[in-house]
Parts: sequence; C-alpha cells; structure tokens
Amino acid sequence: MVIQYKCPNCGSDMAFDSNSGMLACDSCGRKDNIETFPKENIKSNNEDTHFHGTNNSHTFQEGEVTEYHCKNCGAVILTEPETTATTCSFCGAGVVLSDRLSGELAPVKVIPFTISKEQAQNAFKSWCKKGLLTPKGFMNADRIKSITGIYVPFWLYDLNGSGEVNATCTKVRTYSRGDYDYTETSFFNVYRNVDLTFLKVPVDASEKMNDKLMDKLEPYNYSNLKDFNTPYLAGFIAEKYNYTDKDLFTRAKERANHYVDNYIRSTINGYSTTTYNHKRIDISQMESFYTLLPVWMVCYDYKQSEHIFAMNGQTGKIVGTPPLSIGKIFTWFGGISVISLLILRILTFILGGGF
Amino acid sequence: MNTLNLMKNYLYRAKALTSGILLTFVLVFSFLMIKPILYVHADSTSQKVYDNAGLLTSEELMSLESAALEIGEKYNTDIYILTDEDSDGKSRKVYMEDFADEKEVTDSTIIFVNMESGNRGVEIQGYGTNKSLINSSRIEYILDDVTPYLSDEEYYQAFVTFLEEVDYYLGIDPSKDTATHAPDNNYASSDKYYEEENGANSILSEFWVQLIIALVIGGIAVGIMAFNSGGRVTVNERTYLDANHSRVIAQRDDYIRTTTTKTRRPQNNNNRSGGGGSGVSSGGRSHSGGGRSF
Repeated sequence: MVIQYKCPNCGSDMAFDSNSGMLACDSCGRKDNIETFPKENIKSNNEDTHFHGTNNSHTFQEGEVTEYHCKNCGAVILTEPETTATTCSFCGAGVVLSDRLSGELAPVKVIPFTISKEQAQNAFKSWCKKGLLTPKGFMNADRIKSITGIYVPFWLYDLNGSGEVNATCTKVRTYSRGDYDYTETSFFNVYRNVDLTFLKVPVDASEKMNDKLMDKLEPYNYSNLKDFNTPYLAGFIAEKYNYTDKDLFTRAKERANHYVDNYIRSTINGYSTTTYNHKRIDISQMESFYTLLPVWMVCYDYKQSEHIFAMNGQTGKIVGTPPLSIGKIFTWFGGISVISLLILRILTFILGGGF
Repeated sequence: MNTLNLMKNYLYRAKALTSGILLTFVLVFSFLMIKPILYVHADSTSQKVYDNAGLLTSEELMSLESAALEIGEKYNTDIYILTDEDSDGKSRKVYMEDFADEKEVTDSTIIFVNMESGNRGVEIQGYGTNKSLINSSRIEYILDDVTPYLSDEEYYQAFVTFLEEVDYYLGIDPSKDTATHAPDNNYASSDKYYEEENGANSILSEFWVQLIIALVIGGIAVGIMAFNSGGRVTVNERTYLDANHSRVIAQRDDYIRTTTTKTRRPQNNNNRSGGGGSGVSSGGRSHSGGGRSF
C-alpha cells in the first residue's frame, strides 16, 4: 500500500520538515502537525500494490522485487524488499510503503531528523575543511554526488548485566635506605559483585549499513524518541530490518559484556596491578524496540572514486574514511618529530646534559 | 583527457610529498645549524690558572702560570688549573666539562679543586690526545700523589706535583705502562652533585637516541590522527547505564600479606670510557677523568 501526504491548501506533496518537526508543503509553505493531520489528505490505495514473488504476506523473501504505483504521476516504483519509504524517481514525491510497516514490521519508536538537507550539506563541507590529513582537493567539498536522508532500522535493547569478579591486586611501594633499594608489595584479595541495567543499547539491523560506521554515529539523544508515525518518513528513504532482535542479541550481549567489564574495572582502583582469578558476566534481555534512527548518507566523488560518509541526522556527528594526503602526513610527521626532538634536547639541557 | 587528469593528480601528489619531505629536512637542518650557536664562546686568553677559591699567593700563581705554559708549549697542549668554592650546584665533572666547552679546548689536561663546603674534592680530566696520554689509570696515579697535599692544605705543592707528573706522562706512550690503576670505587659518592646529574649523561641524552624517540612520537601521533580522521566511537559503559537501577551489590578488599625485596644499589661510576669520571661534555668533547674527595 502506497501512502502519500497531500497539502490541504494546494494539493502538492508534503514531506517531513526536520527544522519544525511537522509535515511541510514545499509549494505553499503550509505546515501541519503530524498528530492532527487530516485523514482525508492521506492518499493510499491497496489496489496499487502488486507482489512479484511467491509470497503475498508481510514477511518478504530475499531477492523479491515489489512494484508500486505513484499516486501523483502513475509511474511504477520498483523497490528493494527492505525499502519502507522512498521518493518517486519521476516526480520526486515522497512515498511511504505502509504494508512494510505493519504487523511485526511496524517500528515502535522513531527519532525524527532534526538536521535538514542544507544543514547536513553545510556541516559536511565544514567537516571536510577541518581534515588535518586530507588533501586540498577533498577539503573544498565541491564534489558531493548525493546526500540522502535514510531512516536506518535499529533494535534498541534494554539489558540486565550482572558481574562477579574475584581478583588479586597489589600495591607496590619503593624506598631507599643506605646502600639498598627496597620494594614493598602488599597483596589484596578483591571481590566485586555488580547488577547493572543498560537502557536502549542500539544495534543496527540493516544488512546494507556498515556496522562499524553505525556504531561510530552514536550516541543518539533519546529525549527525542517518538512513538512511530508514518508521516515522519515522508520525503525520506527508510529501510525495514533484515535481522530480528533474536538474531542481533549476540552483538548486543557482546557490547554489554564489555560495558560490565569496564564498569567493574572502574570500581577497582588504587592498586598497582590487578589479576583476575575468576570472572563471571551474565547478560539477559529485558526488552527490545524496533526503532528507526535518522542518518544522512553522503556520497562524495573524489579522484574517480566514491567515498561514503554518514552523518547522525539528529546530532550532526560525521563519520567515514576520508582520503589521506601523503604530503600532509609527511609534513605533520616531520613537524611533530622536530618539535619532539627540540623538547627532548631542551629537557636534556635543563637536566644538566648538553644541547 | 583521462590521462591528463591522472598526470595532474600525480603531479599534485608528488608536489605535496616533496614539500612535506623538504619541510622536514629544513627543520632538522636548521636545528642542527643553530646547535653550535647555543654554546657559550669565551674569549681565548692565555690564562691557564683560574684561582677562584683564592688558594694561591700572587707569586705562586705566576709560577704555576709559567710552568703550565712551558709544559703546554713543550707538548703542544693546554694545561689548566681551576679552583672554586662555589660550583653552582654542578658536580666537579660537569663543572670541568662546561669549562672545557667554554674554552673550546682540544688537546688539554685540566685539574679542578672544589673547595665548596661539604663537597671538597679534586678532579682531573684529559681531552683530545691527552685523553689517552693522561688516561683514567694515569689520573688515578696522579691523584694518589696530589690528594695528600690537598688534605694538608698545601695547595701550591699539590699543583706543582700535578704539573710534574703531567709533564712526565705526556712524554711516555701509555702502552709502555707496566701497571694500570683502577678507578676509585667511591668516585661517585665523593661528589654530592654527581648522582643527580648522572641521569642526564645516560643513553637517553644521546642525540641519535632522542632523534629515534622523536621519530617514534611523530609516527604515533600521525597514526592516531589518521586513525581518528574518520571519526571514532564515543560511547562507553556510562552512556546507556541506568544509574537508578544499577548498583554494586557487594565489594570486599581483604589484605593478605606484604613481601619486601631488598636489592643493593649499583655504584654509579659512569664507566663509559673506562674511567671513574670519563665521559662526554655537553659540547660533545670526550675525555678521560677521575676524582677524589679530600
């Protein structure tokens, strides 16, 4: 089923405006609250959906291509099975494929975009200029091929982590008396038992998205977390999850394991050395929420090769691997080395050695 | 057109690389060029005796001056006699090294008597050709004869003995020595400033070692910059922690025992060139040496 939001004023397509957090019409400038948007202006049609595959249910098969029709111009919209919101390639209208957002596939929460396309573009340009090791040509940021707002599917896990540790710790003190140096080592038996709760630990559920890139985009500000509503997706591209919460629990568990371990370590302080004799960490899932999180994907064309960058659509944090300039690497390397050498020589001079 | 673009890219990269390498070398060489300027240059006078402690009469001073000049001319060398009662917190060894750098000595033998309260001592150093002629073993023999006079406050006689023995040793090849004299084991403890200064003469103060350290620092810094250029993970265990529902259920820190190990501190003789007080001055002048307290 295709859903399009029509302006009550002029009948043009409306899209979600990240600045105001409302549905906005580009033609006449009208803005409408998502919650109170008039139902008669939501155009949808069940008959426009044709499934080309063996299965007509909501669990989509791999490789299945689904055909939809645009309500504006009647053009055929061909999408990948994961797509839940897109734009018509012909008229540019925002399209939400609601049958992919119902039942088990319905997201529970969403963080709407708070950074507009223009803001994202400007932020990316200024980020490029800050690159200490990036080539001059890249720093101009004039080769942005495309910038796309995508709602990426995530599972947010509420986890309980319990940890128990038994360790042998030492405190070492050295002192001198006469012609002898003394090393005094005190041994301690240390025990810690913790019960921790982690809320909304995000794990990327899209096969297309690079997990490391998505991890670097964190943290999101959960005070903006809203109950899911389809108008938030209007004008953006959205994906449905490829992996269930059960599939991704192992990844969430790994992260929580690491967090519990670090927390325990932070409670054992004031010792010279710590050796674990016994460590037990248990992670259990309390709850999980299927959530859509905003990401601006920037495709940058530099020297006949594409570089993909991601920007947190809420906080503006940018991640991705930029090209590096060999000249700049050598310049920085040389500069830091010479300064370090000068500091070392000055220290030697101060301590009574030679310059 | 494509070839032209590739050529442009190649030239740009080559230009950037060349400028980076050039900057590195310019900085290193400019540093090496200014290095000599940083040394103190004193005016080269013919004075050989510097009695800052006032141990000698004017007649004794003149006598020692002429004797030092005479022996110096005979062997084409310089012989200096120094006394002081305030060594500015420097060990005898470093005080003499600084003097040698200031005078830009080449082939020289120097004796220094430090009269500083609570730190009285004597030191002899040989520079250039004198490093082998007045080697650490021969210095120990000279000190055996000079130190008793200093203890008896017969300073003039001590310096006369020093000059006589230097005159004797400068005329004999060290290979003809029938016996060698090991440096005094208590060399370091005879000078209260020696221990704290000795750290500066360690391997870490060598220019090439420091150059390697600087290059490693540069490499690590650039590595970190490159690693972080694409953004980094900024969340930790506190980011998603629900503080209201998280707690330490139990914690115990039980003392078990204490063990103590005792090691004898090594005597810090700085035997870099085979002698108690041998070493290299801050200006890079290598020397033999030895010293005693009296």
